[in-house]
Amino acid sequence: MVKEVITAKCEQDFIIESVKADKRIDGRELNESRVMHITFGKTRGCVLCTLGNTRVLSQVSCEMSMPKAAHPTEGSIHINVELSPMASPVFEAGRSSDLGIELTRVLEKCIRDSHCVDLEALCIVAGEKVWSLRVDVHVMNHDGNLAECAAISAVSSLHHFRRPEVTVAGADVTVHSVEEHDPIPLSLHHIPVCVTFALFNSGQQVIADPTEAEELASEGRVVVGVNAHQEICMMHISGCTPLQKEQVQRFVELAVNRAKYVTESIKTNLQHDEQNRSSKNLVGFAKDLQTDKILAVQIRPQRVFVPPPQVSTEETVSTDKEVEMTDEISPPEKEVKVLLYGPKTAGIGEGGASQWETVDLSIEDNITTSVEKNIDLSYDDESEEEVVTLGAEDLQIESRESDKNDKAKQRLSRGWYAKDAFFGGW
Amino acid sequence: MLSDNKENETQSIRTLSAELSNLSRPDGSAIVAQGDTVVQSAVYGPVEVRPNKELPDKAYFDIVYKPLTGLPGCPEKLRERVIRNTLEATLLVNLHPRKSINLILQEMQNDGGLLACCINSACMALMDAGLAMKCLVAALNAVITTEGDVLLDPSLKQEEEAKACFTFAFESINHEVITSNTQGSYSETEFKKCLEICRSASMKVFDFYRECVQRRFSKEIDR
Amino acid sequence: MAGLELLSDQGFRLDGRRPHELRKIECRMGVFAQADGSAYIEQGNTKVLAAVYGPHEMRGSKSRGLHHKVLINCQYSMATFSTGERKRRPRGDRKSQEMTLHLKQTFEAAIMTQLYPRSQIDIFVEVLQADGGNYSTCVNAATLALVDAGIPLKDYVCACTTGFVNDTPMVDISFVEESLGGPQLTVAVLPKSEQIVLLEMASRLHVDYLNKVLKTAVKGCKDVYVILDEVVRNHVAQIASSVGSE
Repeated sequence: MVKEVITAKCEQDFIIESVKADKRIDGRELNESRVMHITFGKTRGCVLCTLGNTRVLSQVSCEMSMPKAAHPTEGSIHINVELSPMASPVFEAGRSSDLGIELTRVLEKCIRDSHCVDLEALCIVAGEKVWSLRVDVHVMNHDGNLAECAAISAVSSLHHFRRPEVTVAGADVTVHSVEEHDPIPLSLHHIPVCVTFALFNSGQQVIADPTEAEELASEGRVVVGVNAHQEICMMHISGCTPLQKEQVQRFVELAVNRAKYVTESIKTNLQHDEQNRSSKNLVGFAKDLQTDKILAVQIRPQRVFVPPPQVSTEETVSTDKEVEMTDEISPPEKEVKVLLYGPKTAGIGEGGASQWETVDLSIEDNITTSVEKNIDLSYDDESEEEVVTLGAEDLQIESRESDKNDKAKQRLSRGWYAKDAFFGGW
Repeated sequence: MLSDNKENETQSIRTLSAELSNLSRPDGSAIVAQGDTVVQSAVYGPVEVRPNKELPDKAYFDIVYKPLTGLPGCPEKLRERVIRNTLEATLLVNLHPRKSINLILQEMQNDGGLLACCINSACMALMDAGLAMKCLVAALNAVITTEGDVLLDPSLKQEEEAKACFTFAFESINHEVITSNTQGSYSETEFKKCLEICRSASMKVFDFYRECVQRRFSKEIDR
Repeated sequence: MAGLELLSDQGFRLDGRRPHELRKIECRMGVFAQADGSAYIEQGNTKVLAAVYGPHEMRGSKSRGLHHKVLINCQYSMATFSTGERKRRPRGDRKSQEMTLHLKQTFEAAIMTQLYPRSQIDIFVEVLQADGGNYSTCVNAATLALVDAGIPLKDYVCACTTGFVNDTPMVDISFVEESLGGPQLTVAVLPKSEQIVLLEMASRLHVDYLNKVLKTAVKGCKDVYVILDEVVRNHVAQIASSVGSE
């Protein structure tokens, strides 16, 4: 694992200087955010939010549990933030870093502590059974401003989620499946949104929605959680830049404007998805892949030829048939050249049967001879190289003669190429 | 082709779609959808290795599988293991001693055939990262229904109702089996039938790989 | 509001304070002989101990050392008996980890970190009794301990937690006032320049009130500063007199 992301001093200076000149490296205005996309999964409560290159996936799930003694009529909500090693080489699986703790707490404060979810509505039987919600937030690509992206993703997934309907008759609690009863949405009071700013020039300049490079070059970050009713739900400063009261006011004003836009787009996206679902259109991530993007490819359902059914169940017959079929399917075996270009570089010929295993074989045969040669010529570098090329040719000749059974045996074993595939190559 | 043979039943695989290099941070990444099963995978490598994982003769191949909800448990660890065994056999790990190749898989949607989709997604991510491999791997999923019919690339519901469930991974050179993962009880003939169906379907997946890579490098090819 | 009236019609709080009044603050410096600097502070019923070690050579892995400034290592812990419900473990839960991060961040802004490159300063705070405003009390205690250790600071760091009830900001809120779920704002400031080094907010507060609450919080911090400054001066005078008499 890489210990930390290292950025060059000159790169950081460049970012700092450009911010001083009211410019940003990606051509945005100082208070301009990146493009935001919200896409919904096929299952309820699954949302992928992208903000520029930053990408966060979240999934809400629920289960029945006992309420806490202190709050017998309240359900609970647990937010679990995973800084997946996918997102950045510095993140490690299963370890909570400082950044992870910071992000978890920001989301907890923004969503749980601001009473966004009506927990009392999650009560089934007071003091006995409540719903406990779990929000899994997976950071899939880290390019700055995780807090904003994660908050949007988590809040929209809570909105998108539907919990199963339950009926209580006496002491019996029946949970209805999706087919029996339409699942019901959670009752949410408001949509809190986090907005991140990065501070530059000893707090005099702020930029909205920083990328990772900008975050690293900045003096600190301010995360403000606001909702559309202009209520501040959370505030957090990281980094060590002292601020003035007036500056705080400014962030909040900027954040309020941004929050209005974000809540609107969350709502429109949710509506759009709702329409798609009710009109039985395709939904889910698979649909989003079927685009004209140059890097996206798709093939429609493909018919597959099924080999003729085996008439007899007898083992001998079926084995014969299988052999036939494999012959039919597999391309004619070709000899493959394994080319050694130089240290640590090798090329394998186009397609055809692999001959790596034969390399392994013949090396065993050749070891004695080549070692002998090596010993003889160990003082002479040039001749040693010669020996090696000679060895490789030998291998190829030998390989053609090698026994087929041995080949098959070797193919089955894991790591079926030689440990010293490039024996003596460097 | 043999498709004119009237006796044969036909099976189909669901829509396959993929996008390569869709994440900016990893060295290689791919999102693959097989029907409504979607898996995102990413590869970092060869990179610095943690000292306790360092191998003197080859790269350490690390796999992390992330489920959509909850923490990874025993089934997830097993899945990691299967994927690792499948792909380590094809990667030329000897080219990068004292390094590490990290593969991360994230389940995004599950609608049957998750393991197969994981393997295909992982293989495409490794391809995208430009790591040297001996061959490509295509994995396919088939089930035997309670009536005894073979069903290729089933949905989650069909998979749950099935009598037995198979996942096979094939290599691209001789189309031989690298991995076979089964669940439930079945007869030997059933096994062989599933294997052959999956094997012929694997060609489609390899064609798909080829098209993906062609698209990926289309700019360079045109030049 | 659970039948409790946080602010009476006459403008008194539950414990008889007026909204802008701090709780009684009592502190002592140099309570440990072992530590380079230490302090004990009581803010009402919230009691906190702080100890500071350093600046000293890097402990543990040398590679953690920073070549351009001192590494500040903090630990926030709450004694298992500090809360009404016994805590299972004193530290390691997410809230204490967050507090640790905040402490580190606060003091990185206040300590002249560039003076001690490749070294380390340890700040340990322990909440002995929690009755609201834990974090701000910890910051105040740590400031005193740092002063006691003679570590150069840009200024005192004073912190204050402020609540907001019935359109009235209340400084230095207690546990009861905290637990009723109103908005609370914790700020740490450098009192002379009124610069904010830490700002934390939980629960909901309308934007229009922010200025009012923030102003009250900063005022509260300045009140804390007056008390801390007096304590430090008395303490230094005492030491000076004892040194002089020898």
